[in-house]
Amino acid sequence: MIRAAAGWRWRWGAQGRRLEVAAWRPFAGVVALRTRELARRPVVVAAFAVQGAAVALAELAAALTADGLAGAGDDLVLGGLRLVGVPGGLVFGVLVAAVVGAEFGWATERALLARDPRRLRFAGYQLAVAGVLAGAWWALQSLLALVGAGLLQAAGGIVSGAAWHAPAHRAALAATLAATLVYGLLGAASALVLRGALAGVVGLLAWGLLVELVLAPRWVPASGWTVWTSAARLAGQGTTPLPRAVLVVVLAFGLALGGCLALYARRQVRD
Amino acid sequence: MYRRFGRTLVLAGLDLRVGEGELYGLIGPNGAGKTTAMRVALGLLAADAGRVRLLGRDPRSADGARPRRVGSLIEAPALSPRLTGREHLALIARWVSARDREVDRVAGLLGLGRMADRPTATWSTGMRQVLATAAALIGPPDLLVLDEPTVGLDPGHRRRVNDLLADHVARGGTVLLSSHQLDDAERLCTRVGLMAAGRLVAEGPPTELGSAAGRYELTVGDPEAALAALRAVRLICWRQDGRVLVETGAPYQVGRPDGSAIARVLADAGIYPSDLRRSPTLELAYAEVTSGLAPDLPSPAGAPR
Repeated sequence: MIRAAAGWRWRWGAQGRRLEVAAWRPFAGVVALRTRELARRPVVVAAFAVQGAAVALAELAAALTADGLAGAGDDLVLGGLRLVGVPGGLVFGVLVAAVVGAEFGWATERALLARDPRRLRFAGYQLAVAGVLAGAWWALQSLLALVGAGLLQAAGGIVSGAAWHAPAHRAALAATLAATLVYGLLGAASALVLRGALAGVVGLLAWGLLVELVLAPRWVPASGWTVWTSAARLAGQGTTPLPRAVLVVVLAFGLALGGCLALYARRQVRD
Repeated sequence: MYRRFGRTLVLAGLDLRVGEGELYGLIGPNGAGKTTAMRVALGLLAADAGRVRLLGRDPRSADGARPRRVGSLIEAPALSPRLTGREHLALIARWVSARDREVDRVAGLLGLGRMADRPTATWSTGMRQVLATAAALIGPPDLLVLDEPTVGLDPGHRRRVNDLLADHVARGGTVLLSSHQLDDAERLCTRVGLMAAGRLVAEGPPTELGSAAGRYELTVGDPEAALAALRAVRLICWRQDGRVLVETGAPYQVGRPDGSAIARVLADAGIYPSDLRRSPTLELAYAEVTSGLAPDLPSPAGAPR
């Protein structure tokens, strides 16, 4: 039996055929069960598959294009991540809003809060589930970007000149992680505050598409202050000053987290 | 306690105490405020005014032992469709920090069997209700707050749930139960509260509550003549097992006949019953309250605006 620091206990199941994740700590056990449930949901599997395919296609397009994509030249890792990393974050936010909002549709929120009324514990549980999903989402993209680029470069005889762990790659991976975390948190916050999957998705899209991609670019003072442009800047795109980009990402994360916890702490369960 | 939704005062000065070791039945028509009262008691909703205590504490406060000590089922079963029954029970067990063996215990108590390993999306409504009841029993809790736990259950599961509740109380546990199954409430509950318009309008042991309403049973020499005399003054009556039954307190009954009025009607017809007694039922007490025949309720003093 191996115990990991995060509080998980891994063991062979009673039937000895599959690896079971058992909860060492109750909270981690709840998150593990919920994650297992999510892995069975077609919408979650489909979202991961589509994002994985998007990364692979972006790299293929970068390999087939003479000048590369997104100013990355022959660097397929950079081209692929720059193209799909930040939009993928927004897609992930929509997925998280749907996943967290489902708890309201099934009324499982009511069942859990009736046993333990601590709102912040429930919100923490939802955010932890979103965090596990975010980790998987980012890992999938990172792995596909690195492995796919390696295969395409080997097959096409493309020489990028950048090692897989080059600073530009690490920056692109960090930008992808930042977009995933911030949009994921915004999606979770939207679903928690608006109490539903559909409302959560609409709330996130209203912010991500309408405010960040339609309205902000039309108003110069706001255009460099969106999560979208800031995350893209972390990946090396755009002209926003880097400190400002970091500040926007950190601020957006902090405000979304604080706002959603503060609002959900007073939740009245009527439905 | 008071609770308002918009302009509607759903709880209008409800004063309810459930003692340790009681099986308290909360009955009343739809919209009386039973579920809202339970939600407030569990901390799902906050009361607008009043004092609410659950196991001596504010129901919305953080208490490490509370999740295990209070089992609940509020309204429809709340289940993740892609979890199996056993996984759902495990989720609740972990949420309340109960031991894993609690899952097998409650699954066995309600006879879930192999069904427990199937996703809940494939379960019937009744079986989902059984699973939700099983989840409420995880802990094991000292107090059960159950909102219509037997709705939609087949007779076998209904009996099993009722037996479990009786057993829970026999072991020193406490149950707050809302139900429309008045026969179950009459048989199981140590005390019953009748709710209407957001407050208690009657409370007591089922046998005492039932005596406030009921029907009269007469033994007469000529039942047909007695029936004719009673029907002539528009009383609802019928013959059963050689006796004459006269309905009182039902919503469709004209007037409120009592024993002396019935005897007077019969005497006018030259009929003198050898026996005349009340036959109280909780169902009739409920009918009396819900039909508006109960005395006028006092206006809720101190109700928040």
